[in-house]
Amino acid sequence: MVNLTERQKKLIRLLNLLSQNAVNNALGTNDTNNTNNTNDANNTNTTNNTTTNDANTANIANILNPSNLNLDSSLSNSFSLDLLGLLRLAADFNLDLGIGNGGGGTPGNPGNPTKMREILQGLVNKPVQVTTPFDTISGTLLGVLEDYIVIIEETGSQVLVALDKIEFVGQ
Amino acid sequence: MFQDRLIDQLPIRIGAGVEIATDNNLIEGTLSLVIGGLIFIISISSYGIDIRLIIPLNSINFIRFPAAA
Repeated sequence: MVNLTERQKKLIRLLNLLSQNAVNNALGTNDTNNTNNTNDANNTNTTNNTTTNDANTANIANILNPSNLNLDSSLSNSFSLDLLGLLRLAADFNLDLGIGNGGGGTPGNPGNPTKMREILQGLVNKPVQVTTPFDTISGTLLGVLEDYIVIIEETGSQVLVALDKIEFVGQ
Repeated sequence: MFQDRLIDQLPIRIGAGVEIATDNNLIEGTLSLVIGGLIFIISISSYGIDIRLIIPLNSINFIRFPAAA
């Protein structure tokens, strides 16, 4: 289930209304309403040319007003929004819906490490405590390699710890 | 100084004394051979007999090379 922000919900609601209007126009069920709205707007335009934009805005507002969308009840009940199509549409028009991150997990932040390896690389030459199922190894982290890390203990012993066996790391 | 992979790093230390920890055991001995994802250890039992132990690399938690006394 994709969690949408308020902005995305509003955008989807807007597209939903536009889609309903398009369906309505295609079926010709709301022609009289729209015609009336257009006529009203045109009447306004004849009185003042400068109000053309306002009339258009009002017309769009009328179209988007749910009370003017007198859809057949069976049609409105069966209407569904194609989210995949919406995403494709957004991609076509280069719209940023802010969904990103593959639809799961916390929002990505390129500044924060996301893997144990990246975290450990930031701790090289610092004292660490690495816990594995068998025991905890304390010492200075000497290096982070492909599948293991190297720790020098206070006794001078060198310890190679398998990365995939690390349960947690303490500083 | 260190090889990228643990399996490539260990052959450099053949002949060294090691302590190898798995999930439930700590094995002490001398690193004798590393081949095909397996680590061969020669361990001295309490009876003074050499025992060869074979440990799969993927079961290892860590390998300690104790500092020379």
